[in-house]
Amino acid sequence: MTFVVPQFPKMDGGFSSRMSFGAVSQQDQTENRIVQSETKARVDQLTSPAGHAVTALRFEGDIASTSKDAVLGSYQSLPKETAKLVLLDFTKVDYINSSGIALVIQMLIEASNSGQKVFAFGLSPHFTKVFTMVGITKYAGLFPTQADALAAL
Amino acid sequence: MRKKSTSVEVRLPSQLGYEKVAMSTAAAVAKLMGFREDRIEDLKTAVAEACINAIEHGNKLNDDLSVGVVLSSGVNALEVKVIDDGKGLKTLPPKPDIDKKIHGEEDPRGMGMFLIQALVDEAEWVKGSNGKSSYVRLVIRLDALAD
Repeated sequence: MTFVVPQFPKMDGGFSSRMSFGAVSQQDQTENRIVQSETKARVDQLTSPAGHAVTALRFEGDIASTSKDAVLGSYQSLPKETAKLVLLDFTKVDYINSSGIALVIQMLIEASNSGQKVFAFGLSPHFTKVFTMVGITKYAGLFPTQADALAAL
Repeated sequence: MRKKSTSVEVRLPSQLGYEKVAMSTAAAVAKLMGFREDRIEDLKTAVAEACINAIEHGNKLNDDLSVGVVLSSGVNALEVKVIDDGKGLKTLPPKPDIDKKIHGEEDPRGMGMFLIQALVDEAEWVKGSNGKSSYVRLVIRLDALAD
């Protein structure tokens, strides 16, 4: 499953773009002039060495205010009854800003309310530091690689 | 050895995404100055967040306004001023609390200024005269290499 939020440049007086996938929130409508690269999300089913089913959300591109559908949309599409272990793959993420971090926190809020556990891997050392600084590590375990994460689950 | 300060200026449209232009420019200047890679990453995030605040809150995404970014490199430090046409901050927001955010007691957003303060050596927000040209001034020092 792939969620893509395309960005369409508009040349009459600058670059403009609109969310074209899923619902467009009021906030997205007010932020309609955006030149960030698209965010893609893909869902994979994995099994940990201990035999637990793990759902991986693999992100690609920027994670910013434009990434709501890709980040939250892909997460919300998961069946809450079966996707109890969610693994976020940031290996192909180039840029995360505070709005993107807020989307991850919104996901953690929903996961907490649904009894899901969230883990992540593939963050650069810098973004591992940033996630730690804002406290995300209290609610989502961070691992260097997918193998490290799966071994811990 | 660098004898005097040099300055680089960038002007950004008030559109989200263009903060990456300032981020790349700041990284290039910091690299020329000899900053370590991890400090350059800190600077990039701080500059990006300062520009996002200027675009969103200072200039309110107004097409007619631009964000000025002035990078001044001295002997031991790089100063970055990010200037917008807003009135400036009344007060600094409190430090984000992840527990309050997770329990719905605090907005999940609102971490930009915390990140700026945490990632550079100095950060100050200055209100412009006549309610315009407010700026945030960031300083990152080369002597932080010692840590």
